[in-house]
Amino acid sequence: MEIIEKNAEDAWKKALRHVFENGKDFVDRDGRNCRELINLNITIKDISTISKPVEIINSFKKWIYPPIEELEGFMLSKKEISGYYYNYGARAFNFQGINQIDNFVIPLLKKDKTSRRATITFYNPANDSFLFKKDVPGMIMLNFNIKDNRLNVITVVRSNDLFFGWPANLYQTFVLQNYVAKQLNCEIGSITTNSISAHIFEDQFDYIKKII
Amino acid sequence: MHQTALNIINLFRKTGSELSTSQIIEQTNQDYAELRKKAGNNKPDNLSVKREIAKFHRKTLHHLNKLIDFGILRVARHGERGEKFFSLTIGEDEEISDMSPRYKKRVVISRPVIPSMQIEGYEQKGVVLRYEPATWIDRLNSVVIFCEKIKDKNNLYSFLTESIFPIVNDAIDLENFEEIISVQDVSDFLEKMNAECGDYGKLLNVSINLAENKSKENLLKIVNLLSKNKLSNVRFIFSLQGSDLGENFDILSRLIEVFSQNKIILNIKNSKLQSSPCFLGKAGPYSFIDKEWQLAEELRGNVLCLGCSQSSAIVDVDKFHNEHGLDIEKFSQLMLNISKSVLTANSLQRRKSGEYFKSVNQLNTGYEADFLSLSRNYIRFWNFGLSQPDIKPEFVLNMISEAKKKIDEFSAAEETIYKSCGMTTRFKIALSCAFWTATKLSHPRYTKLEIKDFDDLYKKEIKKAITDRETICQIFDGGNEVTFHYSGLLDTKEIIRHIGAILSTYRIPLFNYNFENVKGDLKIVSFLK
Repeated sequence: MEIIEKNAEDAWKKALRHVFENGKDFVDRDGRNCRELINLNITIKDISTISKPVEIINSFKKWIYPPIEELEGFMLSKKEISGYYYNYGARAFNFQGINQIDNFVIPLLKKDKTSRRATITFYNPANDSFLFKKDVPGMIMLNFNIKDNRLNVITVVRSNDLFFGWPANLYQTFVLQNYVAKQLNCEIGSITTNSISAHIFEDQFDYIKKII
Repeated sequence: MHQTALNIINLFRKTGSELSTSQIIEQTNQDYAELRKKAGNNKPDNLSVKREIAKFHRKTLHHLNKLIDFGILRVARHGERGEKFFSLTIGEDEEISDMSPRYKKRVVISRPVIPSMQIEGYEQKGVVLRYEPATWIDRLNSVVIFCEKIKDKNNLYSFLTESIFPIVNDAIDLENFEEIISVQDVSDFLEKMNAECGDYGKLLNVSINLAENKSKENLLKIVNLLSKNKLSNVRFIFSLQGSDLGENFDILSRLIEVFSQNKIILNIKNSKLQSSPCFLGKAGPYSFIDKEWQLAEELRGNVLCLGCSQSSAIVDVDKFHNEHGLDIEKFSQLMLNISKSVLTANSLQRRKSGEYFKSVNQLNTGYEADFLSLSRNYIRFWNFGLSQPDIKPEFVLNMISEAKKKIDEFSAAEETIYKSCGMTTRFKIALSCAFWTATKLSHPRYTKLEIKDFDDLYKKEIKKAITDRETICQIFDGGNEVTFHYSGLLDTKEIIRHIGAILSTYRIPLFNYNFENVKGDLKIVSFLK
């Protein structure tokens, strides 16, 4: 299934509705009732209202969503932040000593704007592929590509809570897209998220109904 | 610091990325840029221009090499034609100070601005108090040290005073201290630590599993020390279960004798009920979720210490009652407001955890994220209606239980949110009682229940009173303390019998004996607080 919308809010609402109406129910390992769709692609053409879904969640005033600066810091921190089990920033900028962004993606796309190799990975089998591990990255990889001097990003998310997680994942992807685009003097293009498991939890159905 | 070096550093600060030698020369030397402009973008034929350009290169390279020598820059990679690319080696929380003759890096510990919180109105009225507000974010309330990992008392002393004191604002628990006693006399260590704790405002807990203690001789040395020095900043927690009493009768008798003579509180942990640590701070008791402790057992070979409590708030229920009556809605809302405030504090702490807990992270290398893997935050209650005639204790406890459900729902939702955002983190809130020593609280109002002799323990009203304490222990999942105040003539056998009865009959994980009122009377009288 593919959803293509101009802005983040419309895409999010459409995706939530689609999973809510067409998803398959199951109980996850923590005993929570979920509704899931496999392989959902969501593309946003215009990133000007990228943080709108976060604002909508905050408008319920029921929870405290990670502040934008925490989401940014999490994505751009080149050092491990010891308070988290992993952090995307360290994996992007210091993946076992490899700076995937500054030393690979940016020089590669500077050299060859048509390159299809500008891919980084967050998932580290040496660290994450263990049966006892519960907390491993949801976002697996990002691909950067330039079309008409616009930097587009595609991200693959293995397990994606569409209500609570997707707004943050989208913003986190944008943070890296913006960082790379600045270095390349490119305009910001589209963001596509490929959610292998796009799901919502029954606990949040009432709020989801209010949104869609 | 030379102006060129400063310009180079400022350039990196502005761009934050890798820069090539030519980019650095161009952007840090106004004259060079003009010279290149004058010469055009092609290679200059003019010899004097060539010389000028080479001079700029030499000068900049000289400073670049110097900055590499001093560990401020590093060569990140080599470009296509062998051109070097440089990047900064210092982090966001470090800055460079100009200290001749060598530049030095200086770590700047920054304290984040604490945003306004939804409990400030209650704080102004004294209904809610943050425990140690000045260090609410950059320190933990309490930590547990695994003694088997650091058995040498001198190393332990250095570790505690250098690495642990700066990150804790209340209590430290030395778990399995019997491992240390087994190999050395620790009297001097305890005296030194008592003095240090007094100076630095900490409480040191020494947890001794009597069944595992291999050196009665060294334990007796501690007991003898206590007969001379009360060690008022050290709390001794003795882990026991009913079946250990016979084998430890002698040492227990001696302990009771010395503790009562010197008015020291004797703390007993029921190890059958709780295998995880349970200890005391100035704010109140601390504990872990017993079911989760298995993780610590797996980690303890690799980590030296674990965080126990991050941030605490204290609710004066008596003052809440005076302000708002016993409004369950209002009370639950207050609990949620506290939970949100604590979450905000945790979030700020987590972002800076590498900075705040650097000293511990260096010792838990490879397991840094596990340092807070079992920690909780605390909401503590003071004067929660055990003596006020106009407040029914059952009603207050019910009100707290209802609020706890909402707190747990909120905490679970927040863990889901953070996990969904790829920022897996722990957020748990425990409830417990507060101690009067925590901060400025209203005058304590608790009933003292008199127990005239041992057999009273089995009387209906006494049984009910202790059962009420059991109920509180279950609601207060963060630990509770039940104190027996002894007065009258000391009869150690009677006390050991009493300990045995509590251990085997009641579900009270931590209880203690206060000998403050022991006199030369002939009758044993104990009180329940």
